Amino acid sequence: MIINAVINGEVVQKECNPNKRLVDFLREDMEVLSVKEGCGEGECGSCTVLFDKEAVTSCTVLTGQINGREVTTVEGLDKKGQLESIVKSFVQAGAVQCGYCTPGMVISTMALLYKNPNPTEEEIKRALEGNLCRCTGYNKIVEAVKNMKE
Amino acid sequence: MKSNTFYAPKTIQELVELLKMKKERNDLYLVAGATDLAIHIKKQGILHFATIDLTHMDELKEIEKKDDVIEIGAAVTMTKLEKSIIIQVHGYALAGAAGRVGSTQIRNRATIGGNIANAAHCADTITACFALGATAVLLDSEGVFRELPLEEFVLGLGETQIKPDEALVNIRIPKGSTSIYSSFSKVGSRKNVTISKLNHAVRLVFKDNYVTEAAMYFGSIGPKPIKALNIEKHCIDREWNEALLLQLLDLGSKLIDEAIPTRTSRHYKRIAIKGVISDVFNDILSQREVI
Repeated sequence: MIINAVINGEVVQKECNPNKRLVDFLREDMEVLSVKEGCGEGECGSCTVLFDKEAVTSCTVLTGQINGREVTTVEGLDKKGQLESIVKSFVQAGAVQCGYCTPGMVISTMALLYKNPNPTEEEIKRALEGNLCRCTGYNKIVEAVKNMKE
Repeated sequence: MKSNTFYAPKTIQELVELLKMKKERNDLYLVAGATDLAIHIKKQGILHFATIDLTHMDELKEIEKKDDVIEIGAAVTMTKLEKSIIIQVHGYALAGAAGRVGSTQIRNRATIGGNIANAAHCADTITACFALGATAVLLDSEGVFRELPLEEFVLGLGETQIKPDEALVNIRIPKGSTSIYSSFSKVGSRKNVTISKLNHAVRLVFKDNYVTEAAMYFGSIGPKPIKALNIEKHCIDREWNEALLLQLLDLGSKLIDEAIPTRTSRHYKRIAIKGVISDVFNDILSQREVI
């Protein structure tokens, strides 16, 4: 099947297996490597991408489902010039340690800020509840997002 | 027939044509949010299969007020259910259940149709829909719709009355009125992003502060949510107050002993049930205070 979608701001037409998981399509067919597979069950959030501006775990989306839709990863945010300020905020707050969960955290943060530019701490925690981090203990990450809104 | 095919019908008519094909094949899955299917195919190592994707059917993504029911499309996501004003007014317990499913990412994809058709024993929306007296609307390969009570549709763990050539297209819940209140609560191994170890949904009709009708269900203590007949009966004609709450807590613990008399989790659930009953009791109380 030929997929027609907008991936990271570019119109993509590509022959692929439509029943492949989106995480595999992005990594193997599109070479978008910021998207990391963790649990493969939609639990850990490390494969989170923006699907029409909403955060979704790409291990639980079938590639055929993105037909006619838009998918954005941190590579796409970088192209749009939206990545730098958020990375800066994460680094300054000490919210990055091993970094494996960070692309997913960044995407969930963007999805939140698109909808709600001025979230409360509770709203930040809820938006990030599906992103697990084994290093930081979360406080620094919440702080980074708080600094972003300011 | 070629495997790895992906069908994305846009209309009911296109879906009916695909259901005709589904009747003849056993490698064809209906899929909406894919939050269960993607995990299933990976765990089972299924490499060749075909899918009928319901996420491109706009009419299955709507929540509509009809004459005496609220009609929810099977492909309505948990996020949409949670935020829908119509659902908050007419099926508060369902909005509450949808808001407690998985994480933000999962709620953005997971659908009510998928949660029900997958029929996990711990599915939160099933418990809420049972309490709200919901019905399931199915469409078959002849284009015929059939409607049946959700409690009959869900048979048990992973089993429903869906036939090979049918798709679950709508969930209907009776419209609420100002005297009807509903609520949902659950307990899992952590506060959020958790699978229910026990969940609870109620729908109550009041006259003044007295209960005139009660529907109370507990999920995750059997193959499908259990109707708590004794507790329902006990509430009738009683005032919704602290004295009643204490009686409900005792009845709840007894229900656990009857439902899972041999499971080791009964020791924990005998106490946990008091928590979910209290949550629901207080939620109903605060809903009534607001009005």
